[in-house]
Amino acid sequence: MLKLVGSFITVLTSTWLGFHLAMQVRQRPKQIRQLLTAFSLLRSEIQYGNRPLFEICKLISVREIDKIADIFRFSYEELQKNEGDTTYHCFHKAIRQVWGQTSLKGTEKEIFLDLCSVLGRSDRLDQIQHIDRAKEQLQVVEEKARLEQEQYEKMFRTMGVLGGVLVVILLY
Amino acid sequence: MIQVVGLGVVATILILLVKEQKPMFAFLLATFVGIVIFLTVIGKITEILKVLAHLANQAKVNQFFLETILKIIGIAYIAEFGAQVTRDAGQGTIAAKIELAGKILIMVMAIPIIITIIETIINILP
Amino acid sequence: MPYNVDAVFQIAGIGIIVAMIHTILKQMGKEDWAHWVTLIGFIIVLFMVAMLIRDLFQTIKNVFLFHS
Repeated sequence: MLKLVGSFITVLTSTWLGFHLAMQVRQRPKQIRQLLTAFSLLRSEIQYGNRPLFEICKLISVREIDKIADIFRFSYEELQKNEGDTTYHCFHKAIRQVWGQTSLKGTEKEIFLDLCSVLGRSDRLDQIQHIDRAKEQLQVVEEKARLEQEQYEKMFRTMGVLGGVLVVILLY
Repeated sequence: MIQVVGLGVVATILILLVKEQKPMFAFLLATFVGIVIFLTVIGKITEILKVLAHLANQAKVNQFFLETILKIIGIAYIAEFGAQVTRDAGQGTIAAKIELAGKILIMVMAIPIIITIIETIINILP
Repeated sequence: MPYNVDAVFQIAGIGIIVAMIHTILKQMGKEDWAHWVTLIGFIIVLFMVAMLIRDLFQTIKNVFLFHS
């Protein structure tokens, strides 16, 4: 009886692990797309608006959802504190805080940080160019992530269940 | 008895199930089931052998002969088992070699008995 | 009375599950992983069979060749 309960728990856990990994893989292209829309917003704000950067961050955090909004909200708070840190520093802090909770990986982080090192430091045209470049790079990454999703999402789910069953059979 | 037959039937079904994807596993499973069945019946053989030894003791047969005969039966079992497993794996040649080795060893074991018999006959003959 | 029949089902289960994992990993283009999984499963089953063969030989020795 105890064995049965134990094996049931094992299968359940490994199944959950597989589904979790699959969700991670599925969320990544979605979140990259959200990041892309956030960049578009940023671009139009810089091009046509006349607001300071922290207000733009606040606006984006209201418009976006989920973790991406969190990144911009944290950046807004950091920028608002005005502790004498550079803009890059504020964004870096916010990203470091939120990144662990997202499904995003190192490539997107690099792109984002590259962009942040330029924000608020040069003229409008230059910033817009940089945003465009970052968007192009993100699109490439998104394409890659979507291919990865197609390939691995189902695999992780099935492997979770099968792995659990295998462990149970081995130890029973 | 029913248990052995049931085990055999279930094992056959399982082997058929596995064989399509992984013939190696099917082979190992067949070997395993063979050993399990043998191990279930070997307990009975022990009983029979005890009775045989008891009878031989009472009839005052030389202990050495009984021992040799038992050894020969054991060698025959082992050789047969090895030959069947290798034949299952499709290596008929190696199976034949194992059987040959078993036969030769049995001959070697039997030589003292044969010698004793011949000596007895010579003694009986005038 | 039967020796340990559970192991029969265990081996069959390992075989089926390993075959399924192999198929899935192969579909996803991870052939090297698939081969590792098969190899490990095979080693485990081989180990079980080897232990049993040791038992068998020990028993035969005890029953038939008891004086050596």
